[in-house]
Amino acid sequence: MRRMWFGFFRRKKKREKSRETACKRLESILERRRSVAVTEIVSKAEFEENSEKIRQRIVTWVSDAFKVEKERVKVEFEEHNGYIVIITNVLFE
Amino acid sequence: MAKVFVVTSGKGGVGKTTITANLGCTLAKFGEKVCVIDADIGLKNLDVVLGLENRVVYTLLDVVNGKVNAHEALVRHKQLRNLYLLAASQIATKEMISPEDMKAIVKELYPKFDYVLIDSPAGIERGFRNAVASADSVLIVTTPEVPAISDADRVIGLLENFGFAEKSMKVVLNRFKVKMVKAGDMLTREDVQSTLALEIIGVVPDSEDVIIATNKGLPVVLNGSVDVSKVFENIARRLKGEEVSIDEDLFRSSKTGIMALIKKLLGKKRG
Repeated sequence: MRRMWFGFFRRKKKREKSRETACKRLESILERRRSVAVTEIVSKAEFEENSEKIRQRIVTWVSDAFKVEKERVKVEFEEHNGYIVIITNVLFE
Repeated sequence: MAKVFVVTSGKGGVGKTTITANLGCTLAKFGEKVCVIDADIGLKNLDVVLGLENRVVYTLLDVVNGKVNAHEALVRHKQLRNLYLLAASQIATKEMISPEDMKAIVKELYPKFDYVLIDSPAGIERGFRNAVASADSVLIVTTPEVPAISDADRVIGLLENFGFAEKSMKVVLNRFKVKMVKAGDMLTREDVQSTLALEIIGVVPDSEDVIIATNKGLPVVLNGSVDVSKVFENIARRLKGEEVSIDEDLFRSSKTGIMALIKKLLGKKRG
């Protein structure tokens, strides 16, 4: 009886409205689809010096975006016509 | 010369055909000469929604095969004498028609009309590419649900790749439920607009009258809710370039109280 009394006055947990859930889901669906904009251009010397750091940043970003372990992300760099092409493989299974 | 719009969505079942039929009827009611083309080959429905299924003699495929010209294949609406339909074939497949065929058909039609509305099939394959090939502008129909908006976003990306400018693409938000939005259980107009980053040209409320009208083979603007008709009139005015606030669509569907109930009853009786 006592438990029922306190239960009656207990503040109910505010449940998330389905609109808020929909907004979050849409954001995550569309975010994954959008391409990453170029934010900075680095020189060849700078790239060679920091290539391992850049590789680790890409691995971290990809593993967060696709929700996979870092070991499942492979990043390789190749040079084509003066541009560095970043080849990223994600092993999902 | 006609303005050519394609009505598309990505996801199926969001109301493309209903929007095409009702917009076509509304523009015709305004005195414009309108041609609606069913590009959903194999799964045609526009003739059924317009109640013209028994009058179709020639289809899009007959025009492509050179059996008749595009004008000979048109079916005139029973009530609106300046509304015409070019029906799709049920036995054909989308692969039997190419984007070039569609361009040639629309090119033949548009000098004689003020508006050409093309009802696109769902999906992003051949049928969709056929439908958008000859259009200048796009109406993207979506409902306020995650799968429909996600597909609409994908379609917008494809349309941008096809060369459509942001200005030539508008969104029609269909089956909007003000009550659910107020309760926080449905995405708002602002949510959809910010997600798709395109102008919303109309908000069509969810209405049982649409189902009743489709059953009767008469679009809802000719036989049903005054409120829904008013929304289509607003959209048609916006298409014509008139400035009509989008809030007017929502205002009509959010009205409650005795007067709204009486109006609704009177509106239903008229149908």
